[in-house]
Amino acid sequence: MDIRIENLTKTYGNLNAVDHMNLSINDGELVGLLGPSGCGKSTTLFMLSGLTTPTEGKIYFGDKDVTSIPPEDREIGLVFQNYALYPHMTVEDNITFPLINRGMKKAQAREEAFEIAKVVKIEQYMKRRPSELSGGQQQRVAIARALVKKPQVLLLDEPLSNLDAKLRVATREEIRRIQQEVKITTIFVTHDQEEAMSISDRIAVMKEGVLQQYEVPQTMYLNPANTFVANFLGMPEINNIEIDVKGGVISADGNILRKGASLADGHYKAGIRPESFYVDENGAALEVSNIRMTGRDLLLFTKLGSTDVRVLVHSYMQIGVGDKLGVSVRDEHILVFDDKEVLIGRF
Amino acid sequence: MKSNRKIANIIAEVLKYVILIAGSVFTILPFVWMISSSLKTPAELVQVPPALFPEVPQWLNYKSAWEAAPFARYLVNTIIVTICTTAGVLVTTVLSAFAFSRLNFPGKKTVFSLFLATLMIPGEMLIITNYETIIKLKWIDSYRAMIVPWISSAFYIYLLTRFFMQVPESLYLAAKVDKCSDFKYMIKIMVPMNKQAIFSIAILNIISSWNAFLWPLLVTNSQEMRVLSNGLVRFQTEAGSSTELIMAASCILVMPIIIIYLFLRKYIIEGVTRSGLKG
Repeated sequence: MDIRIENLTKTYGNLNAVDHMNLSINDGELVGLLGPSGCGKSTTLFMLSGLTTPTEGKIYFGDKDVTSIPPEDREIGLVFQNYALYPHMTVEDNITFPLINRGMKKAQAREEAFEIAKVVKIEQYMKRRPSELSGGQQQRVAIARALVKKPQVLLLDEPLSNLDAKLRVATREEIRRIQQEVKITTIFVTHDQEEAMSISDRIAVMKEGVLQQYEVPQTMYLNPANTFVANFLGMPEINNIEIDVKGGVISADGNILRKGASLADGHYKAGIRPESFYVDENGAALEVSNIRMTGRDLLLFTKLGSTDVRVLVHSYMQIGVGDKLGVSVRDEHILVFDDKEVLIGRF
Repeated sequence: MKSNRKIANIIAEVLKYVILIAGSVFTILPFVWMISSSLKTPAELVQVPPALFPEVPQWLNYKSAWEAAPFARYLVNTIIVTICTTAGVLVTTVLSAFAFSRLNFPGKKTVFSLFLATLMIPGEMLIITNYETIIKLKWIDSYRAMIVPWISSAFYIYLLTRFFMQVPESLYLAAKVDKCSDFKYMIKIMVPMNKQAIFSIAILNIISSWNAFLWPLLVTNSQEMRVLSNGLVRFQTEAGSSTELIMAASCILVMPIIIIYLFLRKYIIEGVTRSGLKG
């Protein structure tokens, strides 16, 4: 089911939780709503579900305007952050609950529940109570309960935030697998950029109620629309520096970073990701003030002129605190922003 | 040093049990005395020194007590009043607690505060005004006079509202998405999830209704309307000094409540775990 959001706005008092948001999602896509807490991503999700009424704007499922349709008639499946399983019911009763409420016969509801339980791989726990399951299993039960009524849209509110790190990675792959298997348009909310990038077809980044960028993960990572998106994506974070351009030469505090850039003379804000540097004897010489071992990489804390800069190098490199290291920036890896912090281009 | 500490531990342990045993003896002794007195002959009752147990249990005392006053009638009355007030209390408590915890209506906070404020009014004051109301309604000497004033309780409503408020809102929202009406949500989710609290309220109410004395005494006149507690007191004055019969009647009075408690206790302990929810 295609989804189209037009001018969607939700106002609480003087605060615009969601501000004139426009978004279209294609049938079968998995879209991540990403942003820091309080950015309006959950509010958007709850407006899509119908549990929150928009102040303004329209939501279309396919060609149908669903803005004023109550949640139970919207053909959505909703999974909550705390799973919201009914603790006094067995897994089977939890999954059949939406079907029986819709008037389905118990025997048929059980069959359908078993079918969907097989998809999420919990069919052997049907007679257990939610409290007898692990966090990941409870999560699957919640997804099964959301999917059993064969909804057109699946909405997930921070589906992974209650799981521990290892389980989180496994479960997000599961979500992707289930989504592909059921072929359902899915929107999930997260504040974890890695999570959003790894499984989404497209990501919508939000800040203070305003949609910042809506893009395919790789494109968004390489071409962030503005400094906010550039800073929000990527771990370790991007380096924010100030650059001067004169006659096509880009320099930061006197260190020349690029020659022959087709950029008008002036002072700009720029971003360079830690992994965009490479070791180059002829490059700018930076003094290493601190080192963090992260496993695959070494994260070096250095200074480019007066600005703190983090540089990622391969972890087998032998280097100590106080050593000097010559680095250059890979081609097209300097992100340059204008005075409104909007991306001009990569140089 | 080590053995000293060991001895100290043993002494502490012994002391603990001595206190616990003393406590239980103090609590149980009156009951034991009541039961044993109900089985004694009049001579054994006044015997010095008193014997803890009668030589030959006088089971006939029960028969005599039962026949000396219409206890069967009293028992039926008490059961009717207890069942009706408890059913009424459960219905009003669950409905109000659900409204206060989940529904939004204008003046909710004010109404809830007023409910709480009634808890500050001494029971005796309520008895006077309730009595006047019952007189005006001409309900004196009827079941409804004993039942209607007690079918709702601000305290139980407050208690259950607190329990209901602990149920996360996401369960309600999930149920809503699953096409579950407010009423159905209350019956199928809220009530079973708070079974424990509701059983506790039922038990507290059964006990207080069973033991109610002053109010039934005020609003009933005829023997047909008497409940056990009043009947027992009347019997005491009527039977005069037959202490063994009074004790037998007392045993008849408390036995059902003890049986009910033992039966429901299982459900209270069973409880409902909320661990199906995280965060």
